[in-house]
Order: sequence, then structure tokens, then C-alpha cells
Amino acid sequence: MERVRKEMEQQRLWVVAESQGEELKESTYELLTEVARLAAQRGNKVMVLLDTAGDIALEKMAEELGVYGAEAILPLASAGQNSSRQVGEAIAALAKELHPDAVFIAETIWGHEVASWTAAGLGTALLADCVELGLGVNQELTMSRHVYGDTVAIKFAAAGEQTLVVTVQSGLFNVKKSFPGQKARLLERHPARAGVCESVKVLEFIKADPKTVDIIDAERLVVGGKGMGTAENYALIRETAEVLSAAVGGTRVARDNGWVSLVRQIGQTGKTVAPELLISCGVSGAIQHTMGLKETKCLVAINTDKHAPIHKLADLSIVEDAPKVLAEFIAKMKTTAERRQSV
Amino acid sequence: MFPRLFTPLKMKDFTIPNRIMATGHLTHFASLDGQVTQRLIDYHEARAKGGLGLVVTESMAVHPSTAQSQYVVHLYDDKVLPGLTELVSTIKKYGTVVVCQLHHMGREMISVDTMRPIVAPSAIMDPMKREVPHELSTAEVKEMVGYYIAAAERAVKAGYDGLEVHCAHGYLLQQFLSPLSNQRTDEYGGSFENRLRIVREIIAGCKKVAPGKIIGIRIDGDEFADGGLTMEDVQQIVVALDADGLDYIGLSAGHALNYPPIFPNMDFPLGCFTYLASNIKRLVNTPVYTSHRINDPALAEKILEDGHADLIAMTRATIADPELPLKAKEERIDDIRPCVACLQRCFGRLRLRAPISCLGNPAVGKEREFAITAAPNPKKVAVVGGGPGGMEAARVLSQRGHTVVLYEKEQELGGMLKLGSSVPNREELFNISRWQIIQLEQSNVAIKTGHEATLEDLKAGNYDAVVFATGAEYDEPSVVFTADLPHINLRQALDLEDDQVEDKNILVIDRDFHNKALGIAEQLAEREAAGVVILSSEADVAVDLESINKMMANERLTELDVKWLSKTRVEGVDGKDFTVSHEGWEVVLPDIDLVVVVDKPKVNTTLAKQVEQELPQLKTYLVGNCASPRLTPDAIHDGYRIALEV
Amino acid sequence: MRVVVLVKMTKVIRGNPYRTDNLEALLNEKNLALAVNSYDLAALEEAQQLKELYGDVHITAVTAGPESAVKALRVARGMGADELIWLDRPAFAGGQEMELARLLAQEVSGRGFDLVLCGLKSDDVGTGMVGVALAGLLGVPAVTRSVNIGLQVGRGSLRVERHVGKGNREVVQCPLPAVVTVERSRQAPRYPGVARYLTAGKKIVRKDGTAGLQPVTAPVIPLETKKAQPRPKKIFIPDENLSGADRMKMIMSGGMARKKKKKAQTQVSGSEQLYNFLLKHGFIERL
Ligand SMILES: Cc1cc2nc3c(=O)[nH]c(=O)nc-3n(C[C@H](O)[C@H](O)[C@H](O)COP(=O)(O)OP(=O)(O)OC[C@H]3O[C@@H](n4cnc5c(N)ncnc54)[C@H](O)[C@@H]3O)c2cc1C
Ligand SMILES: Cc1cc2nc3c(=O)[nH]c(=O)nc-3n(C[C@H](O)[C@H](O)[C@H](O)COP(=O)(O)OP(=O)(O)OC[C@H]3O[C@@H](n4cnc5c(N)ncnc54)[C@H](O)[C@@H]3O)c2cc1C
Ligand SMILES: Cc1cc2nc3c(=O)[nH]c(=O)nc-3n(C[C@H](O)[C@H](O)[C@H](O)COP(=O)(O)O)c2cc1C
Ligand code: SF4
Repeated sequence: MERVRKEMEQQRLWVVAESQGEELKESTYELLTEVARLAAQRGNKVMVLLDTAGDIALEKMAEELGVYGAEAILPLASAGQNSSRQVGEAIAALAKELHPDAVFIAETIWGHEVASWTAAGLGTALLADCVELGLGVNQELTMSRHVYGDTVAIKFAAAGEQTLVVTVQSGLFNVKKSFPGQKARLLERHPARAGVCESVKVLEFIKADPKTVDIIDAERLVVGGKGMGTAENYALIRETAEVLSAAVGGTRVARDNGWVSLVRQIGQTGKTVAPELLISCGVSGAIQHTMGLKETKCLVAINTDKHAPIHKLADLSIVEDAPKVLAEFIAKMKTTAERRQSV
Repeated sequence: MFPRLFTPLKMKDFTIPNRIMATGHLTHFASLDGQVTQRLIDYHEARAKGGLGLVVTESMAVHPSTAQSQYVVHLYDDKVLPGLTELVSTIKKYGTVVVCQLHHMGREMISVDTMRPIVAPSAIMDPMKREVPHELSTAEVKEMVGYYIAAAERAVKAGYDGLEVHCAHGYLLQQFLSPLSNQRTDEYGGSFENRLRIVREIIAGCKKVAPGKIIGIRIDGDEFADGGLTMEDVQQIVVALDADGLDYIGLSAGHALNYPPIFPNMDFPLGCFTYLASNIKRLVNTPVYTSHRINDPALAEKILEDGHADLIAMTRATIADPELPLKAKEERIDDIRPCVACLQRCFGRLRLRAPISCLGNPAVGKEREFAITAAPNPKKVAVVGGGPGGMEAARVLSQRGHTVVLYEKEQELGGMLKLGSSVPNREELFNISRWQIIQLEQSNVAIKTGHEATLEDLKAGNYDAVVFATGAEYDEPSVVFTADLPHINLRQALDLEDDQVEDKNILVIDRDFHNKALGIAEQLAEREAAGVVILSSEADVAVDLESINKMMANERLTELDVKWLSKTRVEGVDGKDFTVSHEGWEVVLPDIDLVVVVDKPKVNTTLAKQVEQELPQLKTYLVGNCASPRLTPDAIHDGYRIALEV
Repeated sequence: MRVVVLVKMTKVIRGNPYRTDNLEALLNEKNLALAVNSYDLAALEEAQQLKELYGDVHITAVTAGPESAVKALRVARGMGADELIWLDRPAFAGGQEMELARLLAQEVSGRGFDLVLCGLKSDDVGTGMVGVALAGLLGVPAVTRSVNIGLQVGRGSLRVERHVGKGNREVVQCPLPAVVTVERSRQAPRYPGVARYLTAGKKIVRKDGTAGLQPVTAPVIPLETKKAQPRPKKIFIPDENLSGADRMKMIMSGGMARKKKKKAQTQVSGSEQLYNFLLKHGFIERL
């Protein structure tokens, strides 16, 4: 045990990983890449702290994270539910003992909470939502935060011996395998349990309502373009969305025609969406529009013009009148539902 | 709508009024003896007036051993000072910051233009121009540095706000930076430090002769060539140069081994090289600009918002519409004449050693002659045909105050370009007509779509003049090799049903020499024809197509397994097997199902001829394909020119 | 039920912040407006709704800061607070969140409470850790990002709906006493009643906000303050391990590779094709 402690003391920079099912979130890799870059410059080592409540295969993870710059991995065994407080307080307790220079966490809902509990446990301030990490003249850590609604940038430098607790905005740093061949050491599991928080119980999970969810977050989308022709036909888009529990989106032309509002426009001047399924109806596939479709997993295109560029991107191309296809599809889904009820 | 785009940027003591810039671009408006001309001044004045924040004027020769062509500014000679001074002061009148691009081609040129040996760091043949350069001696390199600095001093004298050291596009300085072209063993080659030395010396010299002025560089962010500079190498270079003190860093791409990125056509996705700037911006505090395929302000704003760059180069976008910045500021987005990245009239004309123009904007380089002025005595004019030519005529006529009626027999405007933009990777071409349509809808031109103009219409309309823009049409194939197989024209090929294409072997005969044979071949291949072969009698298929569009098309065709053969003649057909001769070889193309003959279309002047006979007093004009079958920019240029004449 | 709501004033920059890169001009007093933190308004609204729903709720609004902070209490009064406490002390600087949390903990635990409500974070320079730190100091459970609070039968615990991202929500049960941080919700907070707002002054109890506190040393020092420039977002980069030509190919495909076209399924109608496809990929279930 003592030896492990000693080893952990060498890990001056800690990165808290966040899992999502069997994988880690992209934001963890972004953060790890960036922290590893700093660590290399300072001659430090990076330890990744990982909540094991998810279905993470630790051995595999150790192999994988090493390549991004992790030197060691410390699994934290939380109770699962409400893990942020357990993990945060456990990290605070560890940090009190081992005095790392800083604990970095990606700014997500969970990450922010873990960071808050860690900072509170350490009785220190939280450097939240930083946008830039760096080193000062004496190799001390520096970080910038944007405040006043992204108007003012303040750059801070570490002063004194306190462990810094830093969260870093997601979506900024490019992910890079800077340490090919490196494999992280897997440390012994560390318990992370706090009494008081276990009294908070999760009763229920309410999925976002596709009618009101921001299209950025929607898992399924039905998108209509000018080819839908009329507002009446556009109602078929909404109906199809309804039967598939999908959200409604539109092209700029659909917005110009008043069929959808700006918040539902997809593309360059609208939003970028990342659904599992997107059904695109009467949309030509102009680049300004398809820019917003990049992250779509499965695309169905319904367009009478078989040469329309949208067909090139589609997993399924239907060259037919979109209102007709949708109306028939809705009818089919409805009869199926009725039959299901009568069974 | 574009808050970040219109936030001024301070650089040294200069305030760049907005974030839109034009990077250096050769225009061929300079005179044969290397002087600035009034044409060049007018060209830039229009863009400064249009609200450009920063303009880098064209690459200018720092040494007599460099010239892209005969029409470059001789910055190595004091003779250019008066003209240059006028150019610079004219641009500055509008608050635009103006920077001079210091340029030497190195080996990426031909000696025809200078009648001197071309020069380079090492005597390695240029892979594109195929000439072996003279290897500069150490003393000659030092002399070259002196020339750069003397040129910089001249630019300062002419009043420039800054200097851009051109380290991009595979020209002399990139040739020094890249291990692919620099194999010197003296102090200017070998190690990282040595390869950088010439650039460092030039930058240091510029700083000395241009105190207080902006000093920037333009550099390729990645050579995309095996053994060449990678993105990481370039990052290292830029960080090192930046440490010496730079005021801006411009990122670009493309050089002799990978030419198309210098002039990206519509194959390149919008903003495709922004990542190069973004990755430099992460490393330095110096302002960074990004260029390449950024053609609309929404995209520019997004790039700024996402923090990838500080300045956005919209070079061709402001060739196509000099007023882009103003229109963006006034939120008149639909009025911005788009650059469709066709390269047909900007780079395409440079290649033909002609001054640049633009597919959609005939006034490029003709700012004076082609200024749209009110007509002294407004007339009633009929325009027959709503293709690019007819629409342009109608648009300009109505702007000049004429009363215009536009007839189009189809339900939709756009003419043959509707077909032109239906072939793969040409979709963007139609944006120019889309823009024309929006402009016409906003004007008071009476648009009669679905209306075939007849003699009666023209009689009854009481017109003072008629502009014919009735285009051209595809006739019977000009050649039939065998009666056993169907031979169809381009138009019919575009209308083929799936079952007429799928699993068929198709021969495409290129008698158009532009992109149409490639376009239809690609379309047929995409539609799962079993095999597509293009034959041309000329030295190359699509021999008249602009080179970059051709290179990109060839890549796509290769991917689709389309084959082509140039310098061919069909010697005979046996059933479905074609025997073709090619440079002394005989090649058999077996099992052909269908022959598509891509001819030049035939002019459609039926109505014009009728009018000539029946209404001789009516003044008539011909525009575009109906005058002689050519391309979209010619139709637009005709329309514009005729509209000024009426 | 004793509900304590923590409120504060925040600074907001007036007008378009992009108009200039000159930070001094932008942060000139003339350009700054003081406003009640928007999340705190949501917390006040939540407290008032609890009162309206369950009656018998006593709301105390607490603020810490200089004279200018008092406006937050007036607004709180206008929105229904019964008691107003002003912990008078100089304004907090960034990095002093723990000091604030201790001061608040001292006040709150001194007076006794069932529920502390506070905004999720503050609009200006906040880091969003005060609620959590307070719960830690008080040794009570905390629930963050609430959008809806109700009492469970028996009133010993809360039923809180909280945001968990992507528009999804989670319902948790939390025993009292507790700290809950409040997210801004769709529903706009009510306007403060004018009469109560105007007469709030009389209600305000001023206390010394500096007594008995150890100052906290910040772990960092500010080096530089400047106009924020957007940081480069993550961007698509072709894999460096590929050859030059392959890197170009990745760029040309714009990250969204062209898909090989499927053979058209003839004979089958479009709606059938759609139905079968969705079925095959598990988006819908067979009867
Ligand atoms: C600066 C700028 C920014 C832009 N930003 C955006 C943006 O953010 N988002 C956006 O969407 N657009 C944007 N655009 C507009 C974009 O260029 C296109 O004009 C737009 O996306 C086209 O919308 P559409 O596909 O609905 O219409 P169209 O392009 O007109 O396409 C209609 C399609 O419907 C098909 N069709 C017709 N009838 C039927 C039928 N009965 N059944 C099936 N199909 C049928 C047609 O074949 C055609 O392909 C922007 C443009 C500019 C200049
Ligand atoms: C497959 C293909 C690819 C092409 N690719 C390119 C390219 O890459 N680049 C390029 O520059 N060009 C390209 N073109 C050529 C381009 O489309 C034409 O050069 C251009 O459209 C010519 O314009 P125009 O106005 O002269 O004639 P058109 O576009 O032919 O317009 C003539 C119009 O007049 C109408 N009309 C005729 N008679 C009457 C009447 N009596 N009353 C009313 N209306 C009438 C017709 O319906 C038509 O709409 C391509 C063409 C094709 C077919
Ligand atoms: C006609 C023409 C001439 C050009 N000449 C130069 C040049 O002299 N120097 C240079 O650095 N780039 C030159 N370029 C490249 C442009 O600066 C620019 O990088 C390119 O057009 C892509 O940017 P864009 O998509 O904004 O137009 C030229 C481009 C064109 C089209
Ligand atoms: S000629 Fe084509 S590529 Fe060149 S500026 Fe005009 S539209 Fe753009």
C-alpha cells in the first residue's frame, strides 16, 4: 500500500474520466490529450481517475488511455447512483493526502458536480469552465476562464501549494494519440463512498419530449424541405415525427416559408444535429444544409429528383413523392398500432 | 447578423475595419513591362469601396528571375513606384488596409517568361513545370535576400501598410523550407534551422526597412506529399518564425506536387482548410487568417465564432462580388453574387495568359467600361430566353431603367445550366442562376415563364429592341459508327431511364472538348453502368476544360472506374466490338451497348431569323449560345455587354 | 417549512459586446448594469411556488455583499420573501467562493432551515460551486439543476425534477433538510410586486458579514485580463498517420464520406421501403 501511495505521489496531474456505458466520453479524451501535453512539458506524469460504476473494461482502458498520455489509472469504486458526490469527496480526500498540483475534469454536468465536491472537500476555489491551459514562466500551471458571457478573459496562474481544481470546456481540444505504445499502469481499486448522499434516490428518468427537445439533442429527426410543397403537406412531417417519437427539423427554405421556426433550421446558419435516424423529405441537399448533417448516423432521403445531392449521403434513397410516402407510412404505422392494441 | 465579422481588428497601429480580406491574387492586369495599370487600380478600388477590411495585392516579382507570366508587377525596379503609389493610395482612401505580397516563384515556373534560367535551392526538376533549375549559390541566396528587402523598401515607399512574405504554394521560400526541394549542404539547407534561415533573414530585413508596418507570412499548413512538410512540421516552423515577431500568419495549401488546393474548385468542401489555421491559432497569439472556399458571410462568421481564425480570406468571393462586405453588413445576403468555385474565368484565364474575369461577374477588370449607368432614353426591350445569358441581359437592362419583358418557354428559369448543374459535382454551378433569379424577382422585369415567344408576341409588344438568348440545342449525333447500336446525344443521355443505364457498357465520344463528356460519363457510372469509356480525338479528353477541374474530375472518374483514351479514331465496329486506334496501337472495346456522342450544340436562332425577315425595323441582339455555342460565363458576359449597348 | 433563498446581484455588459475589443471601454461603469442573478430569480420563483402549493412556507432571502447587493433583497421581497437578511461586507472577488459558503453556512445553520435554494450559478463570473460547498459544510444532501420541486407525502422529503442534459430529466427523492440549486426553466419568474418592492427597505435586517471568518487564500493569482477571443473549437483533422494523398482524400470528402449508392428497390412502394428499412435497423418494431 505504502508503495502505491509513493507511486501515486509522483502523479502531479490528475484527470478525472467520465464514462458513458462501456466507453469514456469524448471530452475525457480531449482533456487527457491537453493535460498530457502540459505534463510532457513539465516532466510530470498523468493519473486518470475513473469511476468504475459503469461497464468499463479496466484492462482495455489502461491500454487505450496510455496512448493518450495516461501513466496510471486509479479506479474509484462508487455506488453508482449520484456518484458525483462520492467521487468528488473521495478525490478530495485522496488529494489532501497526496497533494497533486491539479485535478482536471471536463466541464459536463457530471464533471462540474464532481469538481464542485472536490473543491468543497479541499476547501478551495473551483476554476470552472476554463478554455485554455498553459504553463507560466516558472512552469506553474496557468488557465484562462471567460466570464461576463464570454466577453472577458482572465488568465490565472497557480500560486502556493494548494491543489487546483479545474474544469475545462468540452469541444475545444483536438484528440491526439501522442504517446503511441504507452500503456498505463492499472492501480488498485479505491473505494469512493460517502454516507450522506446515499439518501438521495433516483426515482425515475424522464426522456426529453421530442416535441420540445432542442434539435441538437434529438435522437431522431424528420426534416422537411421545399419539396414538401405546402404547409398542409408539412403537417405530414409533424405527424411522421409523432409516430416515430422524433423531432421536427427544416431547411432554410422551410423556415422562410414559415413551416418551421429558426430554432429548427438545420445547416450552416442553423444547427448541427447528431441524431441516430434522420428522415429527409423534399430536401435537395444544398451544402449549406448538409453541413449540419455531418453527425447523422442513419439518413433516409425522400426526393423525387434521383440526382438530388441528398441521395448521395443517404443510407436509403427513396425516389418518390414525399407527401405520398409519408401519408402512406403514417397510415401503415397507425394500422399496425391498432392491430397491436387489439392483439 | 454578423457581429464578429464586423468587429475591427487592430494590427500594429492599423485598424482593420472588419475581418474580411482578400489574399494576394495575380490578375494579369499589370502591363507587359511590369507596371501597375489603371485597370489594376480600378479593380482594387471597386473592392476597397465594397468594404474589404484587408487586401493583399497580387504577388509581385522581387527579382528579375521570377515571373508567372508576362504580366506581373516588377517590384524589383523603381520604375513601378509612381503606379504602385497610386494603387496603394486609392485603396487606402476607403479605409482598407493594404499589404504587399513579396514573391519569387523559384522553380515553379518556366523560363519562357524571363528568358533566364529558373532558380531554386537545389537543382531538382520541378515536378509540374519540368524544368531543371539553377541551384542558387550561397552568395546568390544572400543576394536574393537583399532583393527581397529592396523590394520591401520599395513597397514601403509606395505607401503599403504592410508586407506579406510569400512562403506558400511551393514557391521559392517553400522550396527552401521543404526537405523535398531543399537538399543544400550550406547554411541554407539541411537542418531545420538552416532551412528556415532565408525566411528569417528576409523577415528581419523587412522589419528593419518597414518599422511600424505589418509584417505577415503566408505558408502552406501541410504539403500533403510524402517526405514533405507535415502539419506538425509547419507548426514548428510557424512557431519559430512567430517568435521572431510576426503580425499575422496566413495559412494556405497546395504546391507543385499537389496543385489543386491552391485554386480549389467546387470539389473542395466549403472551408476545407480552416483546420490548418485553427491548429496554428492554438499555438500562437498572433492573428491568423484562413482561406479557401469561404464564400459566404455566414460561414465566415461561424469560423470566427468557433475561434479558428481572426481574419477570413474570401478572395474569389470578392472577385465575384466586390460588394460582399457591404452587402453582408447591410444583411442583403441574397444579393451577394456567389463565387461558384468554377475557376473558369479567374484561374482559367490566368492559365490562358489572359487577365482574370469571373463567370458571374463580367465587370471584373472592366470596372470602368462596364459600370452600369442609367440609360439616356429608356426603351422597351424583350428578352427571349431565360438561361444565364438572357437573365443577365434582363437584369442589367432593368437596372439601367429599361422596361424589360423576359420570355422563357420552360416553367423555370435557368436554361441549359439546369442540365449543366445536374451532372455530378457541378451542382454549385447553378448558384449563379439562382442568384440571377432572385435578382430578377426583386426587379421590375416582367417574367413570363412557360411562354414561348413568337413573332406575334414581338409584334404585339411594341418593343424597341429584342435580345435573343434562345441558346443552343442538341441535334442528332454528328457521327454514327454502326447502325446496330443506338447512338444518342447528350440531352438524351441525361434523360436515360435507370434500366437503360444499369449494367450497360457505354461509349462516350467527346466532341465537345469541355467538361460535358466527363460529366455525363461520371453520371452514367454513378448510375451503375457496367462500364464507361470516353474517347477523344484530341491530345486529352476534355482538352479545353480548365486544368484543375479536369484533374479533380479525372480523380473521381478513376474512382468510379471510368476509362478514357485520347488521340483516338474509331477504325471499325464488329457487332458490339469497337476497334479504336490510339498512337499506333489498336485497341478493341468489346460489348458496347450504347454510344453517347457529346457534340457542341447547334444554335437556336429560328425566331431571330424570322424577326430579321418579318420585322426588319426591330433592333435585335444575340446573346450567349444562340450567337455561338460556348459556356455560361460567355453567355453572362454577352448579356451584360449587350445590356449596356441597348 | 423554513426555506432560505440565496440571492445576489450580478454585473451585465450592456449592448453588443463585439462592438469593440477595448476591454476598458466595455467594462466602463456606464456600460455595466447591475441585475439580480437570473438563476436566483428562478430560485425565488420556486420558493414562492412551494408557498403557494403547500402554504405554511416561510421564505428568508439572504444576500452577502456591499450596499449595492441590497437590491436583490428588494426584488426578493417583491417576489414573496418574508424575511430579508443582508450580510454586509465588501464584494467578493473571484476565488472566494469557499469564504462565501462559510459565511452563508454560518448564517443558515444559525437560524435553522429545512431547505436552502440557490441559483445553479451566477451570470457574471460564477463557478457554480456555492450550493454544493454549502451542502458540504452543512452536512446535508444536495440536489443540483432542479427544474421542479415538490414535497413528498409526509413532507419529510422532496421530489425534485432535475436536468441531466440533452433535454432529459431525472426525478430524485431527497430527505430534508437539503440544499437544492435551481436551473432557469422555461417558465419566466414572476414580476416583483411593486408595493412590496418599494417597502422592502423596512424589512431588511443588516448583519455584519465579516465577523468570525477566516479569510481564504486563493489558489491562483490573476495574471492578465483581456477581451475574450473565442478559443478554437475542436475541428476535423485528417489522420496524421495517413499518406499525403489519403489526407487530401479525407479533406475532400469533408468528413462525410460519399456512400455507395444502393440499388433501387423497384416494385416496392416508397412507404414500404421506408417501413422495411426502419424495421431492419430497429427503429420500429414489428407487430
Ligand atoms: C449564406 C447561406 C446560408 C444558408 N444556410 C442554410 C442553412 O443553415 N440551412 C439550410 O437548410 N439552408 C441554408 N441555406 C440555403 C441552401 O443553400 C438551400 O437553398 C436550402 O437548403 C434548400 O432548401 P430545400 O432543400 O428545402 O429546397 P430546394 O433546394 O428547393 O429543394 C427542394 C427539393 O425537393 C425535391 N422535391 C420537390 N418536390 C418533391 C416531392 N413532391 N417529393 C419529394 N421531393 C420533392 C426537389 O427535387 C428538390 O431536390 C443557406 C444559403 C445561404 C446562401
Ligand atoms: C451537361 C452540361 C454541362 C455543362 N457544364 C458547364 C460548365 O461546367 N461550365 C459552363 O460554363 N457551362 C456549362 N454548360 C453550358 C451552359 O449550360 C450553357 O453554356 C449556358 O447555359 C448557355 O446559356 P444561354 O443563356 O446562352 O442559353 P441557355 O441556357 O440554353 O438558355 C436558353 C433559354 O432560352 C429558352 N428559349 C429558347 N427559345 C425560346 C423562345 N422562343 N421563347 C422563350 N424561351 C425560349 C430555352 O428554353 C432556354 O431556357 C453545360 C451544359 C451541359 C448541358
Ligand atoms: C486568379 C487567382 C490568382 C491567384 N494568385 C495568387 C497569388 O498571387 N498569391 C497567392 O498567395 N495566392 C494566389 N491565389 C490563391 C488565392 O490567394 C486563394 O488562396 C485561393 O483563391 C483560395 O481562396 P478563396 O477560395 O477564398 O478564393 C490566386 C487565386 C486565384 C483564383
Ligand atoms: S470565375 Fe468562378 S471561381 Fe473564379 S471567382 Fe468567378 S465564380 Fe469564383
